[in-house]
Amino acid sequence: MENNAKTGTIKKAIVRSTINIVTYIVIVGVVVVGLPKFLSWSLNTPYPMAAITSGSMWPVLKEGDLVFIQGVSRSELKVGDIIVYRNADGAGFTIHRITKLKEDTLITKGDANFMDDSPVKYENVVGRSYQIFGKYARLPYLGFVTVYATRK
Amino acid sequence: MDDQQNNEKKAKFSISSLGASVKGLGAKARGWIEKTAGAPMKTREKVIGIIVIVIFFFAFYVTLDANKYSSLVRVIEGDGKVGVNPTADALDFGDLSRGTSAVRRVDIENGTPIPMYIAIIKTGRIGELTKIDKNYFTLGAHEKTKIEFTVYMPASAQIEDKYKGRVYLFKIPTFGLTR
Repeated sequence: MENNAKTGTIKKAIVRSTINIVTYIVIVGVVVVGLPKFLSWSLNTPYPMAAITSGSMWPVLKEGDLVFIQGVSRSELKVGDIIVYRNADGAGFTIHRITKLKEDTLITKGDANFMDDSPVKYENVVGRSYQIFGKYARLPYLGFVTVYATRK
Repeated sequence: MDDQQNNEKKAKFSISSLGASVKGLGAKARGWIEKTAGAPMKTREKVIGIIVIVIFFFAFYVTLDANKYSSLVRVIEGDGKVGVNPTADALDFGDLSRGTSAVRRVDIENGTPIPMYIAIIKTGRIGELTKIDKNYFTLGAHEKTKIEFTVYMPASAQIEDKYKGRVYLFKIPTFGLTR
C-alpha cells in the first residue's frame, strides 16, 4: 500500500519535470526561431537586426550596439536616414547615413568619417535603421557577439 | 512544581552560557549561526562558506589594488591641432582637433614573484574613443611592459566638448595557472 503511494508520487514528479522541460524547450524555441521571423515580418525585411562593428556612426550608433532594420522602398528614402546596404564586393553590410540621393545611386557617409562612401545602388539597400519616438532603436552591447565573431 | 521546573531551566541555561564563555569566540559564533539558521552548520556548508569568504576577500583585494587613472580630452577647432598636457597623474590627452589622435603610454611592472593577469577596463564617454593596444594579458614575475592608449577624435565630435572617463587596471594573481 505504502509502496504504491511512493511509486505514484515518483511518477507524478517525473511527469511534472517532463512537462517543465518541454515547456522551457518550447519557450526557448519560440524566442530563438520565432522572434527573428516575427521581426522579419513586422519590419518587412529579411535582415531585421544588425550589429554595429565599428565606430563610424559614433555617437548615434556605438560599436557593439544591436539595431533594428526596417525594410523601405526607394521612394521612402531621404537625406539624413541611416541605412543598411550590401557592400559592392558582396562582403558584408554597411550602416551609414544618406548624404545625397541621385538618379541611380545614393551617397552615404559615416557620421564619424570625413569622406563620403562610394556610390551605392538602390537595389543594394537592405533597409533603414528603425526609430522609436524619433530615436534610433538600439540595444547596447548585444551586438558584441557579432563584433568578436567578425574579428576572429 | 512550576518553581522547581523554572529553577531547572535556569540551571541548564547558566551551565550552557558558562560552556560558551569557556569555549571562546568560536563557540559564540557557532551559537549565533545556530540561532540564526535554526540548525548547526553541516561540513558541506562550512566548506562552501569558507570558499565564499576567500573569493570575497580575493575580489576585494584585487579591486583595492587596481590602478585607477582619470582620463580626459577636449575637442578644439581647426585641422591637425594637438595640445598635450604633460601630466603623469592622469591619462590626459590634452586638446585634439577632429581627425587627430594622441597616444599615451603607461609602464607597468610586476614586482612580485607571482605572474599577474592584467585586465584593463575603460569607462565614460572617452572610453568610446580610446583604443588600447592590449586589454587582457598575463605579466610574468618581475616583468615590465608598456601599454598604449590612443584617442582618435572623429568628425562627429562636438567642438569645445570635454570627454572624460576612467581607466581601471586590475592585477589578478594567477599563481601560474595561465600563461
